[in-house]
Amino acid sequence: MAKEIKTTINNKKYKIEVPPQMTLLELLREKLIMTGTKEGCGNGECGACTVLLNDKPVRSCIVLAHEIEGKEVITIEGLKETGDFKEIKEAFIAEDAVQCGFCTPGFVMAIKALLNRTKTPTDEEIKEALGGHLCRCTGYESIHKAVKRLVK
Amino acid sequence: MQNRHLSLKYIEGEFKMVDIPQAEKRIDLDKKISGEAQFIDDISFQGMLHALVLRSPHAHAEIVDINLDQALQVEGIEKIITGQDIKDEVINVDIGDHRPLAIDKVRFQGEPVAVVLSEDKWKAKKALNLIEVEYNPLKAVMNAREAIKEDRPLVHENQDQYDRHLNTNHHPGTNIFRHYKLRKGNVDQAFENADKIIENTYDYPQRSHTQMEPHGAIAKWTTDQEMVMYASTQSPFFVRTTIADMFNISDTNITVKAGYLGGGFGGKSDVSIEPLTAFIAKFVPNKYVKLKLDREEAFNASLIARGAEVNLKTAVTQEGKILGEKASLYFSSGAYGSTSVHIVTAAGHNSSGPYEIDNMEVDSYGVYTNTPPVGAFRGYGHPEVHWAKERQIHLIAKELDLNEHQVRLKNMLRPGSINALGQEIEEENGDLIGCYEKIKKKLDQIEIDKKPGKVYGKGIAAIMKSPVMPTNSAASATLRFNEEGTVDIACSGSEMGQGTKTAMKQIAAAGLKLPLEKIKIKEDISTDNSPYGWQTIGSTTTWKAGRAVMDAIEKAIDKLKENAELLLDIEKDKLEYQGEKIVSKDDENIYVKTEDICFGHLSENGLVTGEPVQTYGTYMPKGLTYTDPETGQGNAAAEWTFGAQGVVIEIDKETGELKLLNMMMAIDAGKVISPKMARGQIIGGMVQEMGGALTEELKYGKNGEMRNNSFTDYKIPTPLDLYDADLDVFFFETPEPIGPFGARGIAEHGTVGITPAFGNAISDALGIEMFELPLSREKIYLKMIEEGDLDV
Ligand code: FES
Ligand code: FES
Repeated sequence: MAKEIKTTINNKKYKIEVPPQMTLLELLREKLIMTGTKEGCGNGECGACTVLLNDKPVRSCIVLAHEIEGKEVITIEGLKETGDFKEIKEAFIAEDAVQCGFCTPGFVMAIKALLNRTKTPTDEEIKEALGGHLCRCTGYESIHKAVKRLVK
Repeated sequence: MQNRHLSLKYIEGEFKMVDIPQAEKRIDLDKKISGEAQFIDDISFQGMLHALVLRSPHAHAEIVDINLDQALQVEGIEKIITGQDIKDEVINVDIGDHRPLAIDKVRFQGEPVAVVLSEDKWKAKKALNLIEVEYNPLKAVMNAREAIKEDRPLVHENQDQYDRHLNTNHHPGTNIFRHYKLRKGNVDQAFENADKIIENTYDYPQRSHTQMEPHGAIAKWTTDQEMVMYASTQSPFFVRTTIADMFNISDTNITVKAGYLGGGFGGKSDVSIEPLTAFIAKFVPNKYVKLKLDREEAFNASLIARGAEVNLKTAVTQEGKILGEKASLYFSSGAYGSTSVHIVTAAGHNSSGPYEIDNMEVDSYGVYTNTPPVGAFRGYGHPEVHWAKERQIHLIAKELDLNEHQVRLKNMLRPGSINALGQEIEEENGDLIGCYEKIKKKLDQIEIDKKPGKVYGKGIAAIMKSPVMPTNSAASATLRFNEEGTVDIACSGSEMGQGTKTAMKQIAAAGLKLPLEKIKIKEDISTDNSPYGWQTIGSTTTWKAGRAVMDAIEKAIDKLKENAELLLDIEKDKLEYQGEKIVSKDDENIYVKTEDICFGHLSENGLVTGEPVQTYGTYMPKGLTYTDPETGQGNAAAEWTFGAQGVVIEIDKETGELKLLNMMMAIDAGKVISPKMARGQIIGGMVQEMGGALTEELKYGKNGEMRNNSFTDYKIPTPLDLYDADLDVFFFETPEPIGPFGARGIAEHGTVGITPAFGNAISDALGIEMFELPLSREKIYLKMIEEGDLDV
């Protein structure tokens, strides 16, 4: 049975009906037409669908929509209004860290989550934050350099 | 090079350009980083139907019966389509061996058997589960080795009856659908004269492209003759032609639109799911139908990659000179052969590697197997044969107790050499030896910080690459000056992350001598009104579409001069185009501003002199021919690119675990248009191929089912594999006479020699020789035990 949930997405309050099997990714992309969050695998294996749930990075393809009841979600659409996004974007421009761009919003959300935790992450912390994100285009060098630029 | 159309104006003449203007960022970066860029699955329409596909669980089976009764009961189902609905629709890229859905039998696990259309994907899923299919399983053949045996099952019983676009030299009554033969010189004589014959067999398994964006297409038929499609494709014009051909209607009745691709790498070239999407949409006229693959389907139901066994017998002298070579290549090409005919060819004549071999006998076979069809993948036959050739050179040196660098340098192609196709190599083809020496030197300079319990190795490989494509594969561009003096340019080439559109903007700004801000490149492609481009493949866009842009620019400059001539009353030969203005060669104080005449000149009394400047440019490689069916000789490759690659690795003596320390490439790019993007292409290619070197291999169970169709089981490189590695890219710039300002294509080249560089590095570290990819930790570990090298 569809259930009504109350939640906050990108600082806006929502009251929405969600079927029990619907994932957060489906809710965002198909119901709310926020297509900035991408689906690369649907199985929690690639990181393309990463959003922030109460400030923590989660893979929205393996979170059920009803689990966000009472919580706050930030997607790339919400992030792009902020100053942090501008900084991340400048680092990505400087290192040319975008190719096809399909993985990019996911990486940006992961980097934002990392910077929320600490502005001076260690190499180990950076690896932990990015380790599960896949990019088939860049070979990661430019993305790593962009992150290092941000934490310098 | 034979029949080569030489045109030096872009490297020596009027257009010579030392500094290409650099863009601050890619033109698509803002949209992509903010998630605003639309990929295929971000596009939806009101009332759009979702297509869910029932796929074969068997690799090879007869379809005995399909029962739709229960599935059709599900409320909200618009239509269910099966192979029984096919009339004479055939998908023919090169061989008409493929139908949009399986009819009487399935040939790979994942092949479409039925499609359910519904506005509600949950209902479609429910119906899909209620379709009953009865199969009669057949014995499957999973690789070329098995498939060429006497008593093998046939994947296609009647391949003789298929239409072909070219003579593939198939072997009737067998699984061999393509046989490329190359015969050059006198091989038997060479083998008689040899001091040694060295023979090895190298295996390069099938892989998956794993673009992060799975394939997708949306189609709608507006009449029973007209269709519009949105697709994640590298080849909108080719998709159009193939679909038109399938329905026997005119190309002009079909519109294919392509926007951004979330990666292509060849796996979205030719056709994959587009013909099926067009086929099923035809049953529900005036409705959009979306077919979007999930990750599992992207693995087992689109195109897959590589899959070759290469046997090399090399006749050498004691000094390491290669006298002759016999090569047999067997491609496990999957259930349908259309998308790999030219891979078999490219691999065949590139099996020489970047070496001059006077006497060659090559047999390259495309073989039907019960796997998903193999298609183009970054490198297109070259990585497969370089894995073999660059390991072989290493082993020849080892066997003869020579230095491998000397063996390479002794045999390398250089100006005046004749390559495998019979083409003469010229200076302009690039500095192979320079690139090789650069990597050798860089490897020598690296001092490894050695740790206890680890061993270290350095490996090197030389590479060459050419695009292999139909002889009439054209590129084109349109250019339009706007009233304000800005310029709109459209050109062939899909944007799939390679930065094509940004590079084109730079090329246009350089050619037009205008600031980047004045140039706008159109990004989306529609076959209705975009300039024609055969396909975005083979690292040819900068080179070929860039050349078409330059052609349009030349014509535009000529028109601008004509307008200026009318206004200034100075003959156009006496005028010089300087970008913002057109100046008299005799007196620099006499000029007109380009923006004042680009739309014709409007005088005070309203009279207009001249015409709006709008031009069209094209480029088609000149002088290409088919290869001779008996000798394989001919002008099959329009340009060559050379380079070298190296890696430095660390191996744990206890576990066999391999860690990358350095990876590098030197490449003769002709002219680097954007240093940052060029580096990104090379590094992206190298890392992608590192997956092939170390972990990637599609595995099949005993019934032919794909075993690793997820990122958990099919491991591609992750940030962790690269975080601590040092990567280097060195560009050489020997101008290529055709490319804009001398530029060559470089998008695939990073892949070509990475696997042998790793193989050679393992040999250097442990003294063990590997012949089968991937060079997994388990294989290294077992080999270490076998060789007694294990330090436990
Ligand atoms: S789409 Fe969610 S992790 Fe890949
Ligand atoms: S930029 Fe294409 S997957 Fe990362």
